[in-house]
Amino acid sequence: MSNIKLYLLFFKTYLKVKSEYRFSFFMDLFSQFSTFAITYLSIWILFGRFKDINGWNFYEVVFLYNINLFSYGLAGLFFFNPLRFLEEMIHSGEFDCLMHKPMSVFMHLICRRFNQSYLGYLILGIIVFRFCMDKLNIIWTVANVIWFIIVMAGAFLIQASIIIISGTTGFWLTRSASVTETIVHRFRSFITYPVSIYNTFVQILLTFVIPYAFVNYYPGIYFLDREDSSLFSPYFQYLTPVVGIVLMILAMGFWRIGMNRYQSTGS
Amino acid sequence: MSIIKVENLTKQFKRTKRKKGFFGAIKTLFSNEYEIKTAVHDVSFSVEKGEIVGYIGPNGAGKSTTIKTLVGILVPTSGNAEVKGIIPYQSRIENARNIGVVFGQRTQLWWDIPVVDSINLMRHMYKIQDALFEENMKIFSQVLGIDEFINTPVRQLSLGQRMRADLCVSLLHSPDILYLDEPTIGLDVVVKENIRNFIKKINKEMGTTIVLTTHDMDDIEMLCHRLIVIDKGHLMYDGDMGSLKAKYGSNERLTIITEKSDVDLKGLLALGVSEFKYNGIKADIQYETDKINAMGILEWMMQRCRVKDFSIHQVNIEEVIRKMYRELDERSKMMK
Amino acid sequence: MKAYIEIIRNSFLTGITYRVNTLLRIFGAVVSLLVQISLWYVLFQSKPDATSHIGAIKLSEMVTYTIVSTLTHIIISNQVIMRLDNKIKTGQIAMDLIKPMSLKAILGSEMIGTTLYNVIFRSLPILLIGIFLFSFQFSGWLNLAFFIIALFNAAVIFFELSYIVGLTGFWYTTVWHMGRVLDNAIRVFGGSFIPLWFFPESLYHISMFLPFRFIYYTPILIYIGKVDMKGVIEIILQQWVWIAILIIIEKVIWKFGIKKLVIQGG
Repeated sequence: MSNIKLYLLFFKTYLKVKSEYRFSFFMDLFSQFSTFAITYLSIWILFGRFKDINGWNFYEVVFLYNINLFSYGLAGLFFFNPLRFLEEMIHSGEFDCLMHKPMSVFMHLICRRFNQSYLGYLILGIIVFRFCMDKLNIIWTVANVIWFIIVMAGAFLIQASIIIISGTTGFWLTRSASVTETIVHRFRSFITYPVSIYNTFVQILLTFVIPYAFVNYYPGIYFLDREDSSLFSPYFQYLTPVVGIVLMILAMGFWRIGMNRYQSTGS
Repeated sequence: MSIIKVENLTKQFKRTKRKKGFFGAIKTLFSNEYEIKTAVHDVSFSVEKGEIVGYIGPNGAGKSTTIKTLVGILVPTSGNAEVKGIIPYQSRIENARNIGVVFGQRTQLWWDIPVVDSINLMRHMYKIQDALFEENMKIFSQVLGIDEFINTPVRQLSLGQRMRADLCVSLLHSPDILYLDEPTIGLDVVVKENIRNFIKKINKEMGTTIVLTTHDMDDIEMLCHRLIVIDKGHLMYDGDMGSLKAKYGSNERLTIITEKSDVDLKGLLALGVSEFKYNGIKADIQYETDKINAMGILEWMMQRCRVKDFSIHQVNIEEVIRKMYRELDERSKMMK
Repeated sequence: MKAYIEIIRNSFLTGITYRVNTLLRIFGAVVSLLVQISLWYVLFQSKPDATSHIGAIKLSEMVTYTIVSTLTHIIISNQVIMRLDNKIKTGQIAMDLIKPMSLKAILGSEMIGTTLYNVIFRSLPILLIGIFLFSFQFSGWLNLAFFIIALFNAAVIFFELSYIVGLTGFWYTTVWHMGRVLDNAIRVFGGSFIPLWFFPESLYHISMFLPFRFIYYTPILIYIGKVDMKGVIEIILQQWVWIAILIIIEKVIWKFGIKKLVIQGG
């Protein structure tokens, strides 16, 4: 209980920091906003010329992309800045300061750095969900709503784990920030569109190596009730929560390995 | 009961051997060649409750490796460290409750917001009782003058104020031990003096054990009851200031101002003078106190020229340490 | 002159120093190339060509467009905004102003060094992948020659735009936001991802009034051979006009910015 209180206190303190730079705060939101706004715009332009993408209509593609964006926004809010700047904190010695406090280093790191610009993702995400709900043929039974929430939690865990794993390479690499940028920004762009448009190799990659396909594609098959055009078992559409939990366990394990390394090398 | 116990502490770092050039870099990625660097070699010491210990040595001597081990950041290669009965690198969080740490060049305060917010956060992180918190804050406002700038964002504080704020934050939970890494670095003389006085007061009033590393010899002279000197990972000296001076500091220096003359001071060398400089007016003479005293030298001089003025300089610790380092250096060269 | 060459050399070598970075960025570029090309393949799946503002477009043209666009992105990219942001924040700009070279020339030289590095180490691998994996089409020496001229102009336009956005740092502390918005505007209205020929009428017209299309869309049109000689010359002239306009804007902003700097004392 007192941990939650401490976390809220961190959050309050953080908001105070941001209110010191109020204009910057809104520009953060605005610039993030513009980024995904143009992705939606691009999808819209494409559908002006083409009827569908591999059989997926405009709203379905937007729905998939929105699951990606929303879960990424939620994960990024907590994990992006702490992990993206881990390497920098190690070099500047700031990381050592976390280590002489009576708190889990990982928790402290997460508490100390939020990235409020991801709030923009969440706000727009909700708007877009609302907007495409009516146009999709999803019957929102209680069971479906609950399953959707569980899937979102799983997607959040997948996104968070991938951010954590790529940032944790900072214990080994001097410029791990570019690892994070490449994986989280570039590689994730694969799931802007339904994964079935890619060749087998990429689909395997997105399913078994960096399993972004479980964020939106496989659960999308379930919710949009589509013929499974993918290469793998139909059960994959239910696996998102499991993949999320397993990946998070791996990520925490990887973090521990990194910490052990840090404690034995100090660099 | 010793509050800090370090036994045969050794810390080695493995570093991948780097190869030069483009292909070298690729080879480095896959190679298993390491070089092993011993940062701390078989160091043992213990610190009693309430002591102020200066932990000193040249750059790269292994000071911060030792401190990092005591704080719980590093795990030793072999040997043990125990702080208040706790092994810091095994129970890092438990240990963290007993200690306060100030790394001189790095602030633990939140950069953009007033000091009071950082204080508030620490209060909750360490779960400090209200009574203790208020009592401590009273002390800090008295001796550190925290009140003056408690509502100022940290980035607007002067270096001295920031150090005071940092000290305040790390002492809020009344730790038994305070580790200070270069606490006066970059501060002006007056502020340095204040910080030292505060450290002394904390030590006296709260009974805090203090371990500090520093390059500032005045810090050592004015604060430390005891010195631990480390060089190239090896413990060189552990004891009080007096015996260190006695061991390495039997030197004194005498400055004599004369009317212009061409006396050759070489004659003094036979009497126990170890070094001299003379430009015809000002003479700088170093001598060993167990062989000759200032009077002896002055008499010798007065017989040969008119002495206008003179002054005697006590050796300060800086010279002692410098001499010690020099001797260590020579010894290690001899061994080679 | 010697000094500028030194700067070019240094920023070229800086690029080489971070090899892992280079590999990761090539990987990143391959990913986005793959995403885009896969998408076009799927979109053209059931039909031989698509209608557009400039007539029917074939899949092979679309693939070539995507590869040239990716190469253009790599070649013209610069760190002008971040560099200026940094210089203004740290006050280092004051030091640059007392150097006997213009700040713009320094940044320009840095960009040339970076570009050389990008051409050799980042665009070549992409070009090879394009040729062997996606049957990238060579469309003749004449087209290539005019494309290179237009590409050079595009780089200048992009440099000027970045420089102008960077200069807003005199007034506003976190410039990267503006940089992000600029990147996004170029991504859409420059046609770096979707060629303007596929745009709906309204957006197509808006983009005609903006300088962004001269960075990606029009140079690539030249390469693919979608414009005749008259069109090529028009495009290059229009690029020059835009360069002139941007230089004037930049000079005005600089004048006001420097005043602000002097008043604040850096």
